[in-house]
Amino acid sequence: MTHRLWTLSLLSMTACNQVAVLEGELVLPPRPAEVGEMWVSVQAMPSTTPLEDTWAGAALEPVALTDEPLPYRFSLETEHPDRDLHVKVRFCLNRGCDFLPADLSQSADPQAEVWFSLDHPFYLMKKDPEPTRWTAEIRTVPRCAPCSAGNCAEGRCNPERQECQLESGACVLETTPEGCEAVTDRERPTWRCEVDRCSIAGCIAGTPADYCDTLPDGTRVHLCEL
Amino acid sequence: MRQPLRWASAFLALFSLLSALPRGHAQSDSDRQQAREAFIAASQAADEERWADALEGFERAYRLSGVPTALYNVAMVLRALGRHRDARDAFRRLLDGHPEYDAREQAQALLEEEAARVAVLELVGLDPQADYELRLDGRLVESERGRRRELETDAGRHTLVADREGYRTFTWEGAVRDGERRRIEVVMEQLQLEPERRPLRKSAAFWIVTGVVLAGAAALSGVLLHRRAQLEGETDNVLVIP
Repeated sequence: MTHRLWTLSLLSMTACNQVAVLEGELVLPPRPAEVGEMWVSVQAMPSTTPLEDTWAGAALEPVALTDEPLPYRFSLETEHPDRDLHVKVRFCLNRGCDFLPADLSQSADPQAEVWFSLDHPFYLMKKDPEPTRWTAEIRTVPRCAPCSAGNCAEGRCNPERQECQLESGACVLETTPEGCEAVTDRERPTWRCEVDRCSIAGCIAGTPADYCDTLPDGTRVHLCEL
Repeated sequence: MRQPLRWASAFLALFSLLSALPRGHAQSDSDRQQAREAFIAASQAADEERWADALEGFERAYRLSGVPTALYNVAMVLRALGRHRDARDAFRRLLDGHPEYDAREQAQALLEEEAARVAVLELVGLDPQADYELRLDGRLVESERGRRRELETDAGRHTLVADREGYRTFTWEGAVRDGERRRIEVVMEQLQLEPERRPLRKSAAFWIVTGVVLAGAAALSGVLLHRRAQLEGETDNVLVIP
């Protein structure tokens, strides 16, 4: 009887906690000069949750931007490593990022967002020799391209806000990083970035060009899948 | 078994006998008085079938007076209690100790009657050269080596326990009737003598097993710690993804 309980205990310790962990590091941009304070809220949900939706909760500890690029580290855990991941980075003027005005166009807090879609970032028990890790850098806070005297290359200049606007009402973003695209059907400035699984570091030491290998049939698989 | 006339006539006989006894038999007038009182009380108890009280009173009266009628009544009470073996012995004591007793023929007949009702447990299979400890109904029974083992008892259920060094205890339980002779075969299983054991800590097997267990535990702990380390994030800023 005793050894059965012991065995069950071991099984519960070893079998019931199949948690996959992804170490994340975002290098956040310096605080824009025109604002006195700006906070960043990072949220993460399975890819089954649309990025376009408003997510309640699911947020990491907010962090305030500084005058310098700011590394922001976090750990994401899941019991469903087969799922892809959505990550939202929202820039807000208040800490909780809970001020959501009905008309963003009239708000002094545009609450810009950067969306990330991560392809298969989790792997069970794959922490040797390195943890699975995702790193991204956001060089600037997404914002609308300012305009003056109708100098917008695309769209038109909204004289009231002095921003280039598209027909949809969304503003033209000032910049869009490589690998990302502007989301043009939203009022708030938003970038959408795709993260390929081969850029998820893990299962190999050092810094290879990427973290996938090519099988004889030409299929690309992550090193953690080998 | 009610025999009020017997107790009454015995009382009269006792009274007359006590009066006629030489002074040296009963130690004192006080003893005689106490014997008389004990005899009267025992007779009353016998009339009321309070056999335990009657037995005690007659035995006391006989101890104090030595009057054979008191011993006769002791035997009669034992007979009434179904203690036939003791009753037989009491009648035997009476006949052997009091050749002058005027009811010898009656006592002799009762002795033979009681002797016929004694049950006997005949133990067979015992080694005549071995020592045994025998207990009948929890009481130690004398058992000399080489003698035929026969245990007398009365009718009813009994328990016999036989012990012999180096053997498992033998136990018999059963019921016997008046005068029954029951043959009991005592089969005792010899205990296996365990080989001399080396002190555990000096045993190589002990250290091997201990080493294996410790190594296994260490490996298991390592695996568990490793797995646990695998499962924990590097930061305190943790979010669990549903």
